Amino acid sequence: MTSQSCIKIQHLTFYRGSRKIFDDLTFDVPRGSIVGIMGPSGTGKTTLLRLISGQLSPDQGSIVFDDDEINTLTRARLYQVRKKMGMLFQSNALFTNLSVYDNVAYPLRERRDLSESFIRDIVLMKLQAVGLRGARDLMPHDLSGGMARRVALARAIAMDPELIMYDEPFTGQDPISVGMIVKLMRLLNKSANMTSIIVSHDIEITFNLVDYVFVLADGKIIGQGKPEELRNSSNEQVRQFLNGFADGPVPFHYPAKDYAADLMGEN
Amino acid sequence: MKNRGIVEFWVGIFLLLGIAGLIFLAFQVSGLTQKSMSHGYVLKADFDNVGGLKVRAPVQIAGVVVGRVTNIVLNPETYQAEATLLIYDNYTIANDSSASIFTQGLLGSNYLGITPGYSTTSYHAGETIQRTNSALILEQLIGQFLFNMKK
Amino acid sequence: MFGVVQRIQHLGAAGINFITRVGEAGLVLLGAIFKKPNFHKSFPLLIQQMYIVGFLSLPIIIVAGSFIGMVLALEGYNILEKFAASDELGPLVALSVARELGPVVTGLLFAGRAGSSLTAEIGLMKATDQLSSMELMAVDPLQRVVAPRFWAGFYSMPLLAIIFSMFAVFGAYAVGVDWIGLDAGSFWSNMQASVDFRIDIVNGIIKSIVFGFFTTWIAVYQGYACVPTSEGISHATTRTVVFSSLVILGLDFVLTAMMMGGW
Repeated sequence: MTSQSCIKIQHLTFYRGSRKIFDDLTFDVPRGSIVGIMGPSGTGKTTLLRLISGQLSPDQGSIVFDDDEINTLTRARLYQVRKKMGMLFQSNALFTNLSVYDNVAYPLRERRDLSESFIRDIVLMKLQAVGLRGARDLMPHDLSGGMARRVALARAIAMDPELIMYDEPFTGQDPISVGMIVKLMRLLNKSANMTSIIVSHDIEITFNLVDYVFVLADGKIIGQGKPEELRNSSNEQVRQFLNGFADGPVPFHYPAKDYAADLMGEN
Repeated sequence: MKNRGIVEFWVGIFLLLGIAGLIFLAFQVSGLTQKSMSHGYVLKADFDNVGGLKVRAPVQIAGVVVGRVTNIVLNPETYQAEATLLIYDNYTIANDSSASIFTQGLLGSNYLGITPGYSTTSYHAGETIQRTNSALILEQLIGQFLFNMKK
Repeated sequence: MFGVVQRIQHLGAAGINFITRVGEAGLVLLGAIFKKPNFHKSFPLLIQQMYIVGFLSLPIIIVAGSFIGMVLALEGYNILEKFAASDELGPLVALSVARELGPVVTGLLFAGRAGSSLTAEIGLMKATDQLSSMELMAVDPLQRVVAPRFWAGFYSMPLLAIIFSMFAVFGAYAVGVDWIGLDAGSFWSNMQASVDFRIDIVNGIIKSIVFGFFTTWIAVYQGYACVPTSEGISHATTRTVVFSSLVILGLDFVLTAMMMGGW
């Protein structure tokens, strides 16, 4: 009996040094949905992904993926569970010494029970899905940014994961590449039924893509809901973020002394 | 994956070069020979004074290296220096031979020279060479010289 | 008054920090070498690293060895000649190189060339999330990335030191016999008489093994634990070269003292 939620986060608290990154965070990601996690810079959105994948351990609270509580797993079991997750990093994280083909084949080759010809079929299918089957022998440094991102995506879905996490997938991409990525993300979510979590601060693109949005700030969820609901939110922080106001709950001026006093002090 | 055959070839060359170097160092540089790797038997010799004789000093007969000094200890009862020698298996030493401590060249290090005797029986392993001559100590020589001068 | 207390505090904190990092380095090493190895996968990686770390270091080692041998022969002859002892040139070079210069200079060159490149490579893999993505694919980066590089360095160092010594002796021969005109026969025979395989050659090899262990350990740890920014990588690389060099020179003194005391 599989639960309705792919990811259940309960009372998550996480510190980095003395800074509290997450404060009693609780939310669910329903299976098969495509959600966005958004917020101002530095709220720890990437840290959240690392917590979900088990690379970091929460100080309090729990993270449950598919009936497995991530933070309590043994290393061996964690590696097993990770096979059901795929992640697209902001830097693509392609292995620079391997060709495109070998990069996508890498996770498959880790499974010793797959024959080389079977692996070849899967790699070609994944590359075809992202439109780069003809680029299979290129090296990462030969690829443009958009192409590299698509190869990284092919590698992330090589093992047909249940959950796929995207860390700032639209940052620094030209509109055509963005269009390609969005098309692929929709496809993976709808046809392959992959639960998708997108971490981004690009509002327009994300709002057009996802079913549900969580807005994070100061370690808490300050707003959540369907994209249209959030546009009409009355929450000040949400409104500043969504509308891109330069001043508001996140102030323009870094805390400082009185301006006149500071200038006078120079004499 | 790059062409694995080529990489392995060059690593093989690297390893062979290393082994060749080791062989070169062993034989051409340090003179490791069949003889020094062969076994030997142990003899002992007591001296009043071993002078500068050190462990691993060569044992020579007629200038040819026939063994090495393996240990030098003080006998607490006789207050003599007890030297243990390793003689290579292919050499025999007559049991009336004498062992003396010489110096190589004018300023060299000490070595143990054996002057062979005429006996037909040889020393067996573990026996002690009876006739020994201690090292020449410079101060004693000078003392003798001065003493003789005075006469 | 307070300045002194503060300085002591800083010193204490730095000391604790240093010890913590050494412990971290130890855990990284244990994680890398004390796990059941998957021979099918790790052997090709090891071979590839031995090519990069070992074979590609040969040019600098051979050139350095040859030149040091040649220079030693020149300078040595200059001085020995005054004591009418130029026959001892062979032993002079062979002993200096086999016991000291071989392991030490090879170690320093290795730290500079291979050590810094290992640190930079691993650091860059960390900075571009390649290590993270390996972890997410259920691949242990300590086994897959760190271990082959560590073993490659460990095995390569003694080989490189031996090759260094060999070429140094060649260089000395070229200068002493071919150029200056010393007698080839006495060059070799004096050398063979003075150089003992166990005390000199083997001890030199032991030194190079120890140096290889520490240099490679420092190099892979600095890369693995670096701050994943370009500045962090550059600091880590510098640290590798500096620490390795200091450790080599310090250990050389310790080992030489131990070996002279009748090892």
